[in-house]
Amino acid sequence: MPELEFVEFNAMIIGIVALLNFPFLIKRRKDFTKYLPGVILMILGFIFENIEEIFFHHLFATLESISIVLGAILLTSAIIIELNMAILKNRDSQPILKKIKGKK
Amino acid sequence: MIAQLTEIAIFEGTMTVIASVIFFIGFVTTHFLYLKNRTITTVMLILLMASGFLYTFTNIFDKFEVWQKADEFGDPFIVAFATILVVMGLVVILEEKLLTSEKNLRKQFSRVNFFRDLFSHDMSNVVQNIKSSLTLYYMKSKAPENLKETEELLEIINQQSLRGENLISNVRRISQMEDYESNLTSVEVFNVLNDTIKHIKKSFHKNINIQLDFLDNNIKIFANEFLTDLFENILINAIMHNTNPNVEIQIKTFTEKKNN
Repeated sequence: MPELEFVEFNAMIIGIVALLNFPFLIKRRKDFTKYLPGVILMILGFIFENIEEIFFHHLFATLESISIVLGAILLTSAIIIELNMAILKNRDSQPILKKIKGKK
Repeated sequence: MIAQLTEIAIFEGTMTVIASVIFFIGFVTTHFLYLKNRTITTVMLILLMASGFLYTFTNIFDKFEVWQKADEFGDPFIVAFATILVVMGLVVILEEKLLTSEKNLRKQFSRVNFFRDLFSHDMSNVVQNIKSSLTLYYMKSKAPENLKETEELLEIINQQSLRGENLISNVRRISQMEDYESNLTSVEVFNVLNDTIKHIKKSFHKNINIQLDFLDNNIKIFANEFLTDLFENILINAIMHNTNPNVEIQIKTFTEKKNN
């Protein structure tokens, strides 16, 4: 009989709670929308990890791997976008004189 | 070892390697982000990426069956990843609240500074004028031939006290303004402007001719009681700085298309 792993099941439940909390988070911080696709895929990966223990092991294991890779790509992309925005924001807030000096 | 694995296991293992590398890139990027943006949210992102990397990294050993206990070792990181996600949600909300209150505090601080500067500069100026006029008045009032000059000094004192009074009333109005910001109601501009014009015409002893050229007399806007003050200020300035004996003012409305 297939058995769910306690730790993985816990992670899935906590992940789902985090996902449910995300709309409230986005409501307050619109800039966090870019993390949502990555988070959804990661949580999907956690769900598939539990389902693979029950049925269609190979299918869900493959789906788990794919969603975790995509989740990682999307989360990292979101962080790169955030970093880019932070750099641009910093550049804009630099005094004009400093910019002129830099050009010289 | 890898040769004994099935194609699916190799595929999953490769995917895990890719995920691990990407999480590591994300982990490094968050460090750079932290250098630019030192917030608790960024720290949470670093932890999120670290747990993601550790989970996928240990998973590589599990997928390629290199280390039997890799799965057990990696499992806490998956829980950590999910927990950090939950905590990050709360931290972001708390941080947002903190930033809002800091913003409000800065706003209040600049307001206090503004009033302090206003009072220390303008009010001290008024008081100084009254004091010097009073000193001169006491000096000159002793001689009866200085009657005209003493009257002028009294007039200056009177004007300065009126200036001080106006200043205090303006400060009171400015301090009330923020409370009124949220109390905007629908107002017919034409009616308010007409009432102001009537009031202005009574206040000045000049021949004032104000023409209203409104496209629509029922234009409604969201405003508060300060709208009258706004119109009054503009009209008073237009009249006061007009040197002609007959003051002619034209008020026109026009439509402007913005953002299609």
